[in-house]
Amino acid sequence: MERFLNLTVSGLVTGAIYSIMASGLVLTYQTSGIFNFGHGAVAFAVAYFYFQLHSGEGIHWVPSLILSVLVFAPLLGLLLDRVLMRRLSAAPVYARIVGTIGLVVALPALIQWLAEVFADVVLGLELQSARGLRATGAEIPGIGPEKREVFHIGDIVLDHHKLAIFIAAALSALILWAVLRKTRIGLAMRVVVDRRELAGLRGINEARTSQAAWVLTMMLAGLAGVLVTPIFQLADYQYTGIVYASLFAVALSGLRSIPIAFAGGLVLGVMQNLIAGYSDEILPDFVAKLSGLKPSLPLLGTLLLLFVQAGRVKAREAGSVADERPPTDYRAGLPAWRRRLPWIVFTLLLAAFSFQWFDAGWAQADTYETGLIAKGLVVGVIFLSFVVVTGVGGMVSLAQGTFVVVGGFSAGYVLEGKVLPDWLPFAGNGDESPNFLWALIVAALVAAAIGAVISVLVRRLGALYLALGTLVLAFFTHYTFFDYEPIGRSSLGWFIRQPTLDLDGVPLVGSAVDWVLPGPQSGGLEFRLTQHQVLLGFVFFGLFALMIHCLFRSPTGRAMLAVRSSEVAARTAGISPAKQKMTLFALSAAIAGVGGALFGMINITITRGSADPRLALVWLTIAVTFGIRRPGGALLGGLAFACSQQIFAWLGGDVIGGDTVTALTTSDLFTPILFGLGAINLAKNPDGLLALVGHERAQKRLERERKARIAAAEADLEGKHEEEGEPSTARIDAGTREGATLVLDRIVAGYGEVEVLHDVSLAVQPGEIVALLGANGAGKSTVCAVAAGALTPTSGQVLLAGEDVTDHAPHQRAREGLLLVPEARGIFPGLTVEENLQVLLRADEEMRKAYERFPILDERRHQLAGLLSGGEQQMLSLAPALAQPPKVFIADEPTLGLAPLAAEVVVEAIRELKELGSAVLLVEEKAREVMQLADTVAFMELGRIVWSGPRDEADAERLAAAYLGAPSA
Amino acid sequence: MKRRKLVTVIAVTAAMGLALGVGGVANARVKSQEVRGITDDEVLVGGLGPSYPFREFGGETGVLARFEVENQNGGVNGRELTYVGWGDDQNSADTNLAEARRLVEQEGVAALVPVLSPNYLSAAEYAEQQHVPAFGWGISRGFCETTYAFGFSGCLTPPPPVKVASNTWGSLIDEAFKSEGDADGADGKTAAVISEDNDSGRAGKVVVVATAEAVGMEIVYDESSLPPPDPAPVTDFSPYVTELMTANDGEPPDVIFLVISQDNLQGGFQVALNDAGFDGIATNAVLYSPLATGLVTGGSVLTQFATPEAAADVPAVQEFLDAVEAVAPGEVINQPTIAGYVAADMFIQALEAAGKNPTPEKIQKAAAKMTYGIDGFVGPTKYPKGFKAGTPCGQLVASDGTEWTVQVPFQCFSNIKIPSLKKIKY
Repeated sequence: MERFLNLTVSGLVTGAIYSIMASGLVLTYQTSGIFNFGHGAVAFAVAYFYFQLHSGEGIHWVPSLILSVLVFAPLLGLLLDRVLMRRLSAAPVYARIVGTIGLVVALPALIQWLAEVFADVVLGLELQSARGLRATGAEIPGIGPEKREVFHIGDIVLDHHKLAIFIAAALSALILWAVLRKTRIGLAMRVVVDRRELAGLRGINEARTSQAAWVLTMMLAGLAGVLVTPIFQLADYQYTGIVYASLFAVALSGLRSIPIAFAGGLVLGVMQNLIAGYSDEILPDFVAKLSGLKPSLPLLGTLLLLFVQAGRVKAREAGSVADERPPTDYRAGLPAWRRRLPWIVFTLLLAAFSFQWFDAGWAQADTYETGLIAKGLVVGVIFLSFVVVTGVGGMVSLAQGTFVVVGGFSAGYVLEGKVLPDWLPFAGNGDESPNFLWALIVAALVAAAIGAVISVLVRRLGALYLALGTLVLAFFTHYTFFDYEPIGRSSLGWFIRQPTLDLDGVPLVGSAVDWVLPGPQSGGLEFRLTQHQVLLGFVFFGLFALMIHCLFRSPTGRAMLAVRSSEVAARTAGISPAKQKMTLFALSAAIAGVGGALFGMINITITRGSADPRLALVWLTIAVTFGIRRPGGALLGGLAFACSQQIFAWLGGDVIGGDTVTALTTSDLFTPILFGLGAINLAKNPDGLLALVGHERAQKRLERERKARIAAAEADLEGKHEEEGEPSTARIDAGTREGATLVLDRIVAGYGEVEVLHDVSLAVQPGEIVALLGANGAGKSTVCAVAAGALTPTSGQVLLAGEDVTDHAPHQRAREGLLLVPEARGIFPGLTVEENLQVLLRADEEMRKAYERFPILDERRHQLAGLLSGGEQQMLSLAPALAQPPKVFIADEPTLGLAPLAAEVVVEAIRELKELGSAVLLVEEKAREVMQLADTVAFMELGRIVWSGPRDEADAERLAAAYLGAPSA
Repeated sequence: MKRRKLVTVIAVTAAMGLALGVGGVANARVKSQEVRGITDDEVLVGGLGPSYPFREFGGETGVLARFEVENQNGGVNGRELTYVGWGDDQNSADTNLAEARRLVEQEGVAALVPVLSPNYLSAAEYAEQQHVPAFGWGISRGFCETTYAFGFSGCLTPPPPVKVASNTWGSLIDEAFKSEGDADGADGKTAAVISEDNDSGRAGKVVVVATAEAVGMEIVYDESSLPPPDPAPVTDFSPYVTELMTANDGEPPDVIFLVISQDNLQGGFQVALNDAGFDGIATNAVLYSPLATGLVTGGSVLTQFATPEAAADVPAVQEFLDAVEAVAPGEVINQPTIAGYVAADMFIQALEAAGKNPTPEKIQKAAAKMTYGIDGFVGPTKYPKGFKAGTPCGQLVASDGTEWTVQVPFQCFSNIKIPSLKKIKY
């Protein structure tokens, strides 16, 4: 019992690290929609800054801590927000995932590079090197006095670092709770989480709120980073690694609840200790003895939780998957040969260089360079697997490295000989080794099988959960299966020695070699020769690129794209998303497997470390930098990975020249910075650098077309006005402009290239109710959106109390006194009634008025708004308006879906608003209510107001025409 | 707009630059000479391994120090020894190969000196094919699987199943007890062996258990229970510390062998042991370093050579310190410094034995049958036996929290057979 207690208490204290991490991750996700893989990298950056201040410059730990956490961390947060987060929020799902992976790769490298290389070379400062210090075994201190204080609680020993972590975790949990529950900014954060679009309409600046949340998380991450330095000793991979460990707590919280994430961290800490202490007694022997299994059990737990949570989240995600629009292909207008030509030229030049076709010295690659090109081509093959799974399938799979390793291991196994059945030709069961082709085929098959198995596990997960799930699986496989000696062959791995591709009696290979390479050849493929490796690389890359090209255009490819665009729609077309995903996964795994076998060939051995999960992340960032939808991106990416160091050495040394540049660019920290930044660039260009080709030309073309459209619309208007002989400035279709609170003047608006409103003008006086009627699709909701600022008009003006607010954001207009109650009720279902009111009402007096007006709300003060009945919800959305009458009140179908009694209450409330002086614009289906309420009625048809006038003049015929869509009289 | 264009231009240029292969890279020092790396006046070598810690913490200084001494005396057979640079393998076997290729094909080195890396694997195969001898620390399989790699302590990581191992560690502990006045030495003492829960940990543990038993210790704890520091570091050592402290029937054992990685030690495993009140001998084979005294307070570290603390008793160590002072005054001496120095020393011996007209092949032939050592400092390592086994010599240093002292001076023992072991149990 005592042992259990000791383990538990100790686990609770150290679990606090996971708690802080997990809470920060969930907070960021909840307030920005981005899962920040780089959370640990941020913690490292702040900890590193603290290290420079405290250990480097000798500043006392208290001011160092304050400067790091309260100054540096928020500044870093603001910088990252501007550069990355803000843009990522609007990017497609996979870009959001890979963008923060770029942070993991770039940020630690960047800050170390700045301090150790840049400062030294450019500024001449000799700053303390953390990894240097670490490598010598020196202790890197955290906070507090140098001398460790040790406390004994019974049998448990804690030092002041551990206690500090626990206290800090508890404090941050408390602060988070207080901020979120008790402050206005916290309320704003939760509002943004609940319904982002509505938040703006309620006066909340979502961008500013996300920024605030982001800065808060950064400070928490920074604090955690500094505190754990005594344990992690500024090893950057440990800081990023703790994020992966904390996934357990994150998964437990379902990425929603911060308190549960916090508790989950503590649970994880306890679980780890209990496993360490008791697993030998509880688990059967063969399980307990499996190398690496025990420390990996939490990973299994994470996987399980991800599945459970994904099942719950699925319902909500179903809708959002539909907005995966394909990127604009800027080369769309060009003929096929023009698109292919640059690539053909490039490939030929590369081949000429590698195979030494031309006689000039500078045009011939030496062995070393050829070796690099060969490696680049093979890595390009691996990147092709990314093109398939992420570029075509839209799924971010972080387990591609696993398939590479599996492929390599399989190939090595086959090449050891005596494995294949005798009846296979070239099976090599005699003295010669098996033909390399068999090794490649087996590699593809085994990898595809494993890919299919993994896809069965993860295919029902949404985008983010799939990424997390594959990452966890990759780690798990790496630390258990691949560590098992018979599979992984420990540090030596599998050898791919002198394979042969010669097919007796089939002179194809020999001829190919003879044909391509100049000079006398041996008549076969010699894998030791780098030129032959390049040839092989070209062949396989070309083969797979061709396969992908055909896939794109085949029915299967179209089915896959359909699934990616909208799973729901695909299902109705008879396509099984699950089957498509599995096919895609298996195919991509097969390509990665062959890539792994080739990788093993050029590196002589393949170990589990050849493509560990972390390297796979770096590969992903490189691949997406260039463009993951096209094989060309994979080729450039592969070459970049293999040759970047050499290229920079050359650029820095020979092209730009000078020791400074060379020193800067040849540091091993430099290339990770570039690759990471490349991934971050995704935020702006989700389709990589290649997609930018032709971008400018296309941009100019689009701009020209847009201007033409606007000009045409305006000319049209001018023409019409001249026809009808009305001075254009004074025309208002509905209502009078004089003294009007809300004026929409000659609005032309639409969505994308579809124009919905073709010159709409109306005005609403204070105390006037203008009703907008019309059939479905007439443009009524669009008018509301334009008035509220949710949609920017192509041309025309919006005036609020005489002021031009056309370019004001929704939250600004809300603060200026325009309240829109949208179609689906204007409430936040995840907040209580009281909190809903607090969003708009600040003074106690106003709250009281709201409760007085709607006593039912007072009864339900602390209930979640989502649980109220339809009528009560509508009362809730109207209550703030009655307590603090807005200048303009716009209601889009306020009685839609309400029972008659409830509808009556709503109508009453609107009448009251009118009496309180608000200018009311009403869009309503139920003509009867409208006729009672409205002062002015306007009919809309196909984006124009076709009739408007006082209520009394509106008659049944006109009404019928408006609703049935018959042409107006 | 402009920025995007610039980025595109750079990307495309970089790619084209590759294709056109303009100059710089191709113009590197590829001498199409008869003998790679050896002319009448000089011999070229290059270093290989992870920059951190091996290059940054003395690897280069060591080799430069030794070469400087030799060059001051006219070099080897009139040839100056030139160290061209280091290939940083960034802790990856694949990068190790790439860097080896660069050193051989671009820089044209005759030999790889020093090779200080746990990742010298496929590069060793490559080196063997290309006839590039390597001299360094035998902590990679490359030193045990090929005939072109020579370790100053022999082959320290033989492939499984491990049948023969050195009994240095156990014997040093035995000597440690005796030096404190305990005539029995390690005989009858209780020992715990803990390693990390991965393949290399399990393999290492087997050897250590054998060496402890060979000097009569009773093994009361033998587990690969500590999680490796990947992907996430161990944050709480207390469960393992508790197990160790109660391993001997509820009491702590006399000796704890920590077969764990530097990460876990730096994370504070020894410190946690001290906190729990352990006062026996806690020993590891990793963390000797001038700045690590605090982390290993009370611990004893096995090193494969004598350390600067032994300078007073071993003249060769003093010579080493003087040589380092000459090229890098004031630089702190770490294990890589020593390793670089002795690797260079071994290379020089082989070079001399290769005669007046050496070639890489001749150097290899000479090294493959020589015995290398410096009395009281390192070795003797006998080749060709060194291809298969490590040299059973070592020193024990202890830290009291602020400084290191030699607990048991450098000496040699023997190799033992690991009897009951056909394969490592899983």
